[in-house]
Amino acid sequence: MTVKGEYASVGDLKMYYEIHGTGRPLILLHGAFMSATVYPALAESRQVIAVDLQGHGRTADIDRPFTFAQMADDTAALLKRLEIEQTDIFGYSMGGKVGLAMAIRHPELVRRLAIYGTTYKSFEESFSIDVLEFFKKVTPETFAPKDLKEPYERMSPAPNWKALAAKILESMKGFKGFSPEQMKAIKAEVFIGAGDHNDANLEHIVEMHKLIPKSQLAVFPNTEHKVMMTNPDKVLVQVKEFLDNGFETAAETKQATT
Amino acid sequence: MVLKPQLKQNKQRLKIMRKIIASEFHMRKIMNSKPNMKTTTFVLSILLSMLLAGVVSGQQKPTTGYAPVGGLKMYYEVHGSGDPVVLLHGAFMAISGDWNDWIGELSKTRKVIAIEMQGHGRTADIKRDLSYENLADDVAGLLDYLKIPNADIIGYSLGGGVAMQCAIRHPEKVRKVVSISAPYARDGWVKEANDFWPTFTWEVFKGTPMEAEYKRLSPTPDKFPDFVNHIKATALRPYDFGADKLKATKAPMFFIHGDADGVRLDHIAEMYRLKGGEIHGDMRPRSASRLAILPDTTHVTLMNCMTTIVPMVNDFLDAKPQKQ
Repeated sequence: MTVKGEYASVGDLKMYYEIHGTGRPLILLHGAFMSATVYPALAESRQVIAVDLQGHGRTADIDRPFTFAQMADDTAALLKRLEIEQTDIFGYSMGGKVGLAMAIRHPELVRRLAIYGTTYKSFEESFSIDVLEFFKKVTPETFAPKDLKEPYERMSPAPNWKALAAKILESMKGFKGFSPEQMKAIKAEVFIGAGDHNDANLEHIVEMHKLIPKSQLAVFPNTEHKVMMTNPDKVLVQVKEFLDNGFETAAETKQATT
Repeated sequence: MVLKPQLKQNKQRLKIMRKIIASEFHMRKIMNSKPNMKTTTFVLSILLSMLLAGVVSGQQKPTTGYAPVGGLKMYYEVHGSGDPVVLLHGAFMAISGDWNDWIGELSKTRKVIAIEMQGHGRTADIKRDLSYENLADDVAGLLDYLKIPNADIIGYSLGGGVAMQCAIRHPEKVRKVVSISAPYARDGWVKEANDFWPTFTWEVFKGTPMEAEYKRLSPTPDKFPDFVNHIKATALRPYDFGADKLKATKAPMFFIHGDADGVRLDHIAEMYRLKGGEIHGDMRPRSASRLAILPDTTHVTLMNCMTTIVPMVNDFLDAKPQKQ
């Protein structure tokens, strides 16, 4: 099925999006360096809206730093334009942060939010030593994995990989984290997915689960951060189950914050 | 991979829950106390796994026997063929009901040695502490008796703790460990679970299927109150296997839990880290140990997740060691 992408003017941004199918809306938010990805496992029986966030894929960058709050506001504005009053969201990695920012900043818009490979605290607090060491060394010049760079350069209306990499690194390192109060105030039902070989500090993933009032936690065995690029169904079968059915376990059985 | 049973199975679960809620009323009367939701939930959770009895598996007839270990006549069954794996039930359980399904599923590709631990099922109790150490030594003794040099060990709840102790105390006999919903220290249980035991008396189980199952299987059918009290004494006793000892174990471990488990999530994260977790799988060779947390799942409903858990367990047990 070929789907024609569209652009919507959202503030100064000309934001690219694709709509697939019909049904209850589901927004897909990609990870850093990536672009609108429509996963077949999620696309059946849904109106899937996949977007390219600022500076990513087919959405040209503008003179404005990357922040997860801004990206959330862009997506919320797009929803308004499309006259969608409430949606489910799946966000991967950076897209998960944008999803959390949407649940925090636009609570009325978000029914269920599923995230995979996402942290909520500041950069230094969130990641394992492995990752922190890696990011200490990495520069926009040296970070250029083919599987990300090539599709970007093919799609972008004005490709500038180094500028993109610089802005992404800046946004990651500059992020102060969401506060516990913001997390506690999330109204949406949230599915927190992580791999047991993911990049994030497991205790912080647990903390996130404890802070969000209506959340469930899934840790996938023998699974890494990049699984969404290599074998997404490993995660998405479970994500779909959550997006379609929500919760069964009563809230009171959830472990208390200690 | 699905970390949670499909909807159909969930509906089955709900049906069972409804049945249990009906018996909850009865139990509150017995307990003769103000209904305490947390306590009741915990009692119910223990009961749940017992109530799921009645499924007859179409499996081959197992080899059965009693092994003279640790002063016990320990009942065991051997099902199927392949790499040996010892299967350890939770407290108050036996080789009956749903546990038979787990045995049937695992024995499709493995030699499953299912045992009934001290005091449970067909294994009579003796005057000896029901400690993790003693129970682990029994497992090692059984392997000697069956002339099996080493085996994988899978345990649920009490059995998960025993499995970890086997790796600590008998490293040469243990290849890999799968621990389902078990902490390595008493402090690893959620507070409600630890608070529950002092208030607990055997009468809570009076007239329940758990008591009926005990009477059906035990060589000492009239000793049910003693048996329950023996487990209570174990549950009240502080224990801690030692973080350093767990860390020093050679056997890769797979920790399987629910996000609403009776084991604290922080404790789960700590256990996994002790066993080499927190490796970025995209950047370094993976640790041999694994972790799964099933969403929207409790200590008890984990037992309903066989169709999810067994494939994960098989994948873990079959994995070849990675070059580091």
